[in-house]
Amino acid sequence: MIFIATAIELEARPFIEKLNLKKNPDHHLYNIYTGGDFALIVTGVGKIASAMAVTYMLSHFPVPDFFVNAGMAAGDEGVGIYLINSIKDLGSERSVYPAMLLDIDLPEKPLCSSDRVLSPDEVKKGYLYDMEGIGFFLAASKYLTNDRILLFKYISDNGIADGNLSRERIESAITESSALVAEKIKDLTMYKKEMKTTLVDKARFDAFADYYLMSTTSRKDLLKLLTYAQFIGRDPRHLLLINETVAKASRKQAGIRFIEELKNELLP
Amino acid sequence: MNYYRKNFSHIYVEKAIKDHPETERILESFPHSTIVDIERYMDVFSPTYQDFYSEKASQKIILAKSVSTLLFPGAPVCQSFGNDHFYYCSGVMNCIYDCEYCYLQGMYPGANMVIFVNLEDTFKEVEALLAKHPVYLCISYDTDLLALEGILGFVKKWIEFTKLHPSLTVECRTKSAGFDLVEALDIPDNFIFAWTLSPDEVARKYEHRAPNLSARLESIKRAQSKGLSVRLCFDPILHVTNYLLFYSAFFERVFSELDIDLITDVSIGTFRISKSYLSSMRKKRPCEITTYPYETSGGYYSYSDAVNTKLLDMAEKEISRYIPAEKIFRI
Ligand code: SF4
Repeated sequence: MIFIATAIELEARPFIEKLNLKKNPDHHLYNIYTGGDFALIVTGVGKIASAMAVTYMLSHFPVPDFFVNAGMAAGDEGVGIYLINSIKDLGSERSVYPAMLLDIDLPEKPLCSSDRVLSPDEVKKGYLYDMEGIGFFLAASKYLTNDRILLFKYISDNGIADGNLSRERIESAITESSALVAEKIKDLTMYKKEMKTTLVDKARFDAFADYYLMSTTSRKDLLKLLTYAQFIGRDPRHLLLINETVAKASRKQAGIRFIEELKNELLP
Repeated sequence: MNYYRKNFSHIYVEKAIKDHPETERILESFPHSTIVDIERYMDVFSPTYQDFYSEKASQKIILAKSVSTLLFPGAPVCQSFGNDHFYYCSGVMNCIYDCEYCYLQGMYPGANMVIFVNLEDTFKEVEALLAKHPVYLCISYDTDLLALEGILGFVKKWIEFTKLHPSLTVECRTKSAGFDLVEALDIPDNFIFAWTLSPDEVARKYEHRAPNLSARLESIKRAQSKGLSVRLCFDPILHVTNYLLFYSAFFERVFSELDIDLITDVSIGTFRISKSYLSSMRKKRPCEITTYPYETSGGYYSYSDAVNTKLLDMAEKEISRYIPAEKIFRI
């Protein structure tokens, strides 16, 4: 799954359309849209709103492969879409860093998250500015490793304090930028976290261990051996064969013997 | 399709050393990398939650300033070769190679490579120690410094420093095939290159990205052809399927190809690791090496005594056909 967080409904709309998302009727605290491999939440503006919404999402849905924050930013860079490589909280001066492992073909910029709209002379060259990034990242990084948290920010204007952030101006910029971002987000579905293989079927393992009246320690030892077996090319399922003729009184000992013999069999 | 960026796509630079000459020199090697300014290296090296193996797939460099000591007393599981005052220096954290048995995976939270560029401060520290007693210092434990020579040039600096200090003995351990990068230098006797060698079967399967045996042997031969006496480390010897078959052929190859008179000494050891590192490695990288049913003693995991003895006896017996027993150090 890929989750997307946008601050406002306007930013969400192009994704809803491009990714065929439908409003999820089970959630009333937030507007959440789901469909296929994607889920989108409209967080509200500001770092606290963003962090709360991300936490809500991650505590109500299984942890996704990626969590993406997409939205407008300001700054005196050229109009465009940027992948964020560092996020500074202008309140605490603390910085965090997405891992930048995936080969996403977009220019990069550092992002500063502010609690208020900045005046032009507070804006440093080379930086983008938003109000959510840091909250989004910090909340998401409680659940996901930092290589799975991505921020795409788009710039449409460089006069954030000129009071001209009209709906039309934002809407047209968002529509243009979001098409490309949606494609980038779709690309992420090709990159799935390797599934951790279930080494041994749990029901089968439990049945085996229960039959031989294994203690917790013996169960742990057996599980470790079966894991090792898999890495040396042995199929753990073929190793767990219950000998149904063992009398109940002898099973505990038989289990201990089984572990010892299995170890001898597996070691080079 | 490779979804990961190339290694070193990003170089993170601590503000404190942004203008350090080493920083500027190192950055020249990476004209296409994205440079990201950072306050503290730990913010990138050890954030809240990271994935060691994803990071290893696209390693980044972090240039930092060491603010506390980088010299540490040698650990009991490390071979001192009979030297007193045994220290190691952790001037670079993490390695470009990817050995499945490497303790760095258990020791460090992330796979990015931290390079402390203010080597001059470490030199001062070593000189302070030398004022008290001779020092035996391993400079390439938590990394492979020779493998990084093309971008760092730190081995050259250490060679020059060692030349000035006769009571200092430096060991530079490596699996690199890059001896040519320092070949032209005047290397003093108290600077010892130590090559870790493994059979190709082991190198191919467990020492990812590291040069194969032939390439390492070629590098050693270049060193020997300069008259340099080298140390060989057969460590860790691994208890893996068919080990008897290939270790024996391996020792024969090594000692028939190299100049035996130019081998200072040899160390042999089996896989051993602290309990906490192995538990961390098992979580990060379940594999044949980490899931082996080791036995524990004194806070360390290793093979059973019987297996350790079997492996070390086998190695010692093979090696002593070529090298006098007093030159073989066993852990
Ligand atoms: S060469 Fe040494 S430091 Fe590098 S990964 Fe291998 S064992 Fe670790």
